Amino acid sequence: MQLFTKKLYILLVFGLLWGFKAAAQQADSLSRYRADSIARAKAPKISGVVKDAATGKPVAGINIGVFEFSAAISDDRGRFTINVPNYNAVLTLSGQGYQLKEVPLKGRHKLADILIFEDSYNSVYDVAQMPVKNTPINQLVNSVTAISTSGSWETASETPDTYLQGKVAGLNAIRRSGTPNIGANLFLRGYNSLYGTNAPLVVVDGMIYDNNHYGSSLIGGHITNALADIDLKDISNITVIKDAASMYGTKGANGVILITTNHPSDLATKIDFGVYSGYNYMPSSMYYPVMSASDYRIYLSDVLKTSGMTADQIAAQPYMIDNTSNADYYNYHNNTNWQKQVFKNGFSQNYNLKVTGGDNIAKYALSMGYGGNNGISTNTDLKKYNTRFNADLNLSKHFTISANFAFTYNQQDLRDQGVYPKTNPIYTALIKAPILQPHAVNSQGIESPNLSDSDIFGVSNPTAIADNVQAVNKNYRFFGGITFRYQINKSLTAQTLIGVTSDKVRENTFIPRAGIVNDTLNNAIGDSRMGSRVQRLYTLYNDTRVTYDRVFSRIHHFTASIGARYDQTQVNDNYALGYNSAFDQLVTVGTGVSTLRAAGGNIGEYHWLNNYLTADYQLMHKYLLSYNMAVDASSRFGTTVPNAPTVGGNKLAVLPSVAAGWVISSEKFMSNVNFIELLKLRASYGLTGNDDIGNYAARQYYVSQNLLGMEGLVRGNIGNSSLQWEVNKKLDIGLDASLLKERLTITADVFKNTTSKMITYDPTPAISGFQYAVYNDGAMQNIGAELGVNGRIINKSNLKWDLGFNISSYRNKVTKFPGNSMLSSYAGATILTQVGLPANMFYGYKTNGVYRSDAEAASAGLSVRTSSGSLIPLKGGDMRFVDVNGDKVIDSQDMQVIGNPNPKFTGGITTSVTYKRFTASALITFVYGNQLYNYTRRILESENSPYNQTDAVLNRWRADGQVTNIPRAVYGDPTGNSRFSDRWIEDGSYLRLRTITVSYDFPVKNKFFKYIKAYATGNNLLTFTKYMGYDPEFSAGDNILYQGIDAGLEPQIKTVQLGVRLGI
Amino acid sequence: MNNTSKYISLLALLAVIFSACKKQWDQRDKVTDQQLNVTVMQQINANADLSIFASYLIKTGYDKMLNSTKTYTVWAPNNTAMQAVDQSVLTDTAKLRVFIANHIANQVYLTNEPQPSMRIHNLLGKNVTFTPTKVEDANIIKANQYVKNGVVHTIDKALTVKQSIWQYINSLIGVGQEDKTYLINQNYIVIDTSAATVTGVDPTTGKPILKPGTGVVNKNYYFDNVADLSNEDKLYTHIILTDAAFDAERNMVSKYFVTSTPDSTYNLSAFNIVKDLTINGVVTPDQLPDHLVSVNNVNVPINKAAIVQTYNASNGIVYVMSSVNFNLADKITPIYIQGENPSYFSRTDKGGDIFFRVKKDNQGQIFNDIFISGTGSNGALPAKFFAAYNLNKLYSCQYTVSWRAVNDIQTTAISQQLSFGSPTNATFPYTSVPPNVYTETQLGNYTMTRYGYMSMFLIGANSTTAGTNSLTLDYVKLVPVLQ
Repeated sequence: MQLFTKKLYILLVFGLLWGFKAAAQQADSLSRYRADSIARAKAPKISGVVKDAATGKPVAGINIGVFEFSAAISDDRGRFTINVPNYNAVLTLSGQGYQLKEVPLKGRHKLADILIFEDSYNSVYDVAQMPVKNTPINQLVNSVTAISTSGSWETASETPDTYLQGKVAGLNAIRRSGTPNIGANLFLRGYNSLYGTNAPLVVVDGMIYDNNHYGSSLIGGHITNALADIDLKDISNITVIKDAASMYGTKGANGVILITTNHPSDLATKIDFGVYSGYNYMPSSMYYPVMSASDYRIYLSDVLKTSGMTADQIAAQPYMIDNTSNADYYNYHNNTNWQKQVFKNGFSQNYNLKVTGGDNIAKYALSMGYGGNNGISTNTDLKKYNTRFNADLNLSKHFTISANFAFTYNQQDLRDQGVYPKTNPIYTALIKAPILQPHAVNSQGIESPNLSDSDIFGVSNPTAIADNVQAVNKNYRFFGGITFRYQINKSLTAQTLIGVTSDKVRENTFIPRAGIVNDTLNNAIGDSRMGSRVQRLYTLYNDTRVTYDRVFSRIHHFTASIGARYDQTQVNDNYALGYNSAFDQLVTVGTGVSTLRAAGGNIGEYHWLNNYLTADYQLMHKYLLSYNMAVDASSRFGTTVPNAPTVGGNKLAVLPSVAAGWVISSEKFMSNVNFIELLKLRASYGLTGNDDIGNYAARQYYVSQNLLGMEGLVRGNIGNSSLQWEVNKKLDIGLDASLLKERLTITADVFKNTTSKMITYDPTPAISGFQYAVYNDGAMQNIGAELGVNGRIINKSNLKWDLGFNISSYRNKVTKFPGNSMLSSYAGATILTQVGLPANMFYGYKTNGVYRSDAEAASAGLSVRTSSGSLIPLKGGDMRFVDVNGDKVIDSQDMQVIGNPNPKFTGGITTSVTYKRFTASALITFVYGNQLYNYTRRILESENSPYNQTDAVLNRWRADGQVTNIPRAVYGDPTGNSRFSDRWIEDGSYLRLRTITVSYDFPVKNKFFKYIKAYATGNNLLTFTKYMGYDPEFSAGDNILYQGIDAGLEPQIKTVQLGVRLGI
Repeated sequence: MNNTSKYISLLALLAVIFSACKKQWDQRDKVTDQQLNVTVMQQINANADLSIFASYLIKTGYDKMLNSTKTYTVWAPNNTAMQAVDQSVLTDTAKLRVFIANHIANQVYLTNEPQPSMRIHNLLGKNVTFTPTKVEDANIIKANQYVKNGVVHTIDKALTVKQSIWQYINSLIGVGQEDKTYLINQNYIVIDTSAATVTGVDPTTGKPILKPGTGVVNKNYYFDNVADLSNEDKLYTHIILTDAAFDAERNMVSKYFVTSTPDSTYNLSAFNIVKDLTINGVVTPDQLPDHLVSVNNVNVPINKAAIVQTYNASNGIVYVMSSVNFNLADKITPIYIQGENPSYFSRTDKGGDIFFRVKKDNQGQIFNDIFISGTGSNGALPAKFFAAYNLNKLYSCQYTVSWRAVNDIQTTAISQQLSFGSPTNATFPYTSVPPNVYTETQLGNYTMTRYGYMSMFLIGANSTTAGTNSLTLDYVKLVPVLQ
């Protein structure tokens, strides 16, 4: 396989290269140029005036051109005159500090004033960095959002994925938690796969950037976010292609995000230096209102009464004895706010240095950065070091080399998050009894510097977790590529990119025995716990193509690329776990008890070859047509995939797509419609694929197995040799419009994405020895719409106000699934995947208040069935569950859909006001109509254990006749009042002031400094939500079945940051 | 509309949005039922009909406890009920505290819990009987007044503090003094080292040095051996004998307890009587049958006419009676010595020849016995091999002695001898045990002159031939000859 693909690849590349070169040379001839110059002399002329859109004043020095025909420069009064081939030509305007602009003549002989905007203006002429060439949005036929980051010097502790939140219609970026660098789950236009990845493909400087999460972290709930290794200040452009049909073959099913890093634009040496200092804070008003010691003890008394303890036994518990001479009195008579122990306001700092410059042979951009961020969890922090070197070399007139190298190192102190009840500091702080205190005390109440041990209720000491647990993640990534480009002739270019990703993640963990509840291993009790893990990723990447770009007869613009991408990825992951070191100062795996030591890991390797053809055709800048095709081979595909072409025994994924656009505004009949600057209709349709089907799922493999001390091999799976890529059909119809002299830009899209051949894990008969086999048995679809509006509301020379708004919506539906439906569970939730419904519905019980009295419960006559099959009748104070099937028994038959974690719509509002030297900008993000499952609150309102509860539990039912919606407190909850029900489902809608920035550009008279800018930035300062948890934004994992489940992660951080940027 | 007013209206709009958004918790964590904002004490104070009870709560300091963060059930007598309470209780602070504590229990008990009734420990550690409508003999007028830290039930009658049986016995004056004195004399103290305060370790012995006065546990032999009359969680019917009856019954049995001192004879005979004066459960006077069965399974004849006093204690009922005519045969009972429980043997090296058997007799009844036989492989048994039995607590009287010895293995009869005091005493002659006879064999009479200890020997034939010198014994029965 591997041998063959290499051969095929070399053949394709070289064959195509030479073929094109030959064809292009024939097409070129001198006669054409001669004809042109004569035509130019005879050509008609057109005159106009270029004015600044803000000031209304004429602009001098603007280049006005007609492609391959003529050029002119505006004079002092902004006037110009230019020869045009005819009155259907298109003028292209460009100038330093101004936005590119196209003016189609549309048959007009006289032009109105042409208004041009500053280059940072968000308009239809923004350049999108497409896979093979840079294209202004007004010429695109795909659904694309391009973001020019302008260095993003004002941002505070963002990673590229979180930066995109609220900025791209259709891209739902859900930040995973408040942990620095943790990033966001990106869902572009919903999701397309149940078991495969749903993350868009990230391509950095033309090279696929592997941001998969391999293996699982030893640090509970943590993932190493590879995108954090890209420093945002190194990025110049982010282009999101939402309907990237077939551009990246079997990796493009979830759309593509193309990131372009800084390359120097001019030769002068420029030095930028930025210093930032930030303050992360969590006000106590964000805390869960958990019970204070006095309320807690009453609750405890109530719940223990139902535990089978007698009143005398309860009264004899140390926390119930109010006699100060009791030895345990001071240990159990406190009022501790445990949340204060685990949350700590922290500082962050960042230093960035960027140097650009060069000469006409070599240009370079060098950047270095150091950052530290303490987050808001006590004793956690992040240190990051990054450096990037980008260079462009002109070796000859035709031969250029461009190099991009980046090296990033992160070191992060973390703590377990999510469903780790013994070691998650936040979770334990919430459930920990407030009557206890962090430090050990003696019988006289004198506090020891030692921390108290885990308590009588079996809860760890949160302070011990915060202070003494070690959980360090160190990771580095080298990501570098060199592109060799050879201009064969005017129309033909060949280029090849060779790149390498080398990534290593090292984790060391230590959980001491003191203060933390023991772990139960399968053959021992683990008191102290040690772990060590190393994960390596190595990727070799090549992208070679030949591009042909030529305009025929000035109206036919034809561009085509043919090429191949090759990716070889190797991953390995090793871990070792140890337990029970002699004392808590021995923290490494080797010091654990040898019989309990465990080691494991996995390896993964695959090859992917993507042959592609891209062809674009533009007629008179009005009629646009694009064709893409990918032919992919991969070591992941099975060998007997039906209906797929075979080359040398390898099955190929053939994925074509077509897109077309019509620039209506360039038509003659639109020449008098002056309020429309641009109106373009576009549509695309095509196939794309998802190759995330498992490296070896299509093959049979063996795994090692220990049997009575003997080592052996057993079958590891049922290989499915017809396993193939998931196929994703994308249909998109869109409209781009620019109105009112570019003051208002509208982009609207409707789309339908259909996944077929979706990977499913089908249950297999028990006789096979396996629980499931992997098939392409499912199908799913997303239908949705997006709207993006940007406007400049005020456009004065010293006051500009931009307002942007984007909103998007999708409706997901499973259309085919083996066995019709599936239930899965996470954090006590049941999640339903069923044909006809979105893929991840919350499935549980509906409630209707609490029975006011025993009599009322008896008249309803409902019972619950215990695990042993007996029936327990509901009583006063129990939840009134809805008995769907009317059999008077509340059991799994009565479960129904109780929530949908998919938002009805999401979006963002951006605004920016520039007044003289001040700029204030803000980003508001919103999510509407999603439901969240608040697992944390479920624990805090289950009323079935000595865990501390929220203040809402003060309203618990006590006696007949009491009207409340909080049921009675019962130890162990035999009637299941706390079962997974709509009690825990909350509205997840929110509106958030995501970032707000004020910057000031100091007037500089000093020659040493080019500029001095100061920034004040606030992150997450205001959030409006009905959600009762810490924060409505979280994501416990990439899997769609984890979405909307609040498993107790670190909440989003509020940050204020001050920064200064110096330009030298 | 100029720009400034545009901005102002925008700001106003934002302000409206900001103020309209309110934290969900503001509504949720607020207590909606005002009852849950008050404490038990506040609830009592708020009810004018409980004002007298409330004033005594304050006087005794229980008001602070009822405002605290533990949960309580209070059966609060209304003012009418409180006016009926004996002034002597209310004026004596110590008594008052006990009286008040009698109305309070830890934890919350609602009237839906007793089905049909439950006994609840109050703060005194005494049980009160709680039913959906009553507590003890008081009616619940207003039930289930739940509050933040408990519940209040208004009742129409104050709960009088009941003594336990033991407290009642201790308080007896003028009647049953002998019985009372005997029981009190059974008190003893032990030092429980685990409950004591350790002040150090003795350097020579390594034993802990205890702080004097700590770890002292009061115990009572009667409680240990018969029934704990102070246990509030048990229910007993106990009979106290008047002095005359006590003497009469004791005299009836005292000749069976002849010892070297009159005191020990007194104590032993008294115990023989009082051990059968406690009966499990409460038998009220109207339910009394003609005889009860004591905790030691002895018939207690009851003559209702002999009841001198009756007291309803917190853990049962006490009858002071002028006579209990125990049947002597019930008190001085036959003594069985099980053959399979020997104390020692004449030699220690014959373990292989000694069989502790579990067998079925000819009636299919299972019995345990001892069978000793030298099989030869182990070497023959020595001549006159014996098994010795240390007997204790033998009444001082004449006994009819019989045994049950089962010879179900050998085809020849076994010849063996029983002797008291010494193996050479030959109290009884060698007696033949023929094969497959399962009945008792009477051996003769034996007289104990003193109550107490005696040795008994089962002796084999004077032979060393295997099979001729075997021993077998199921039991020896000593039947006192009653006079």
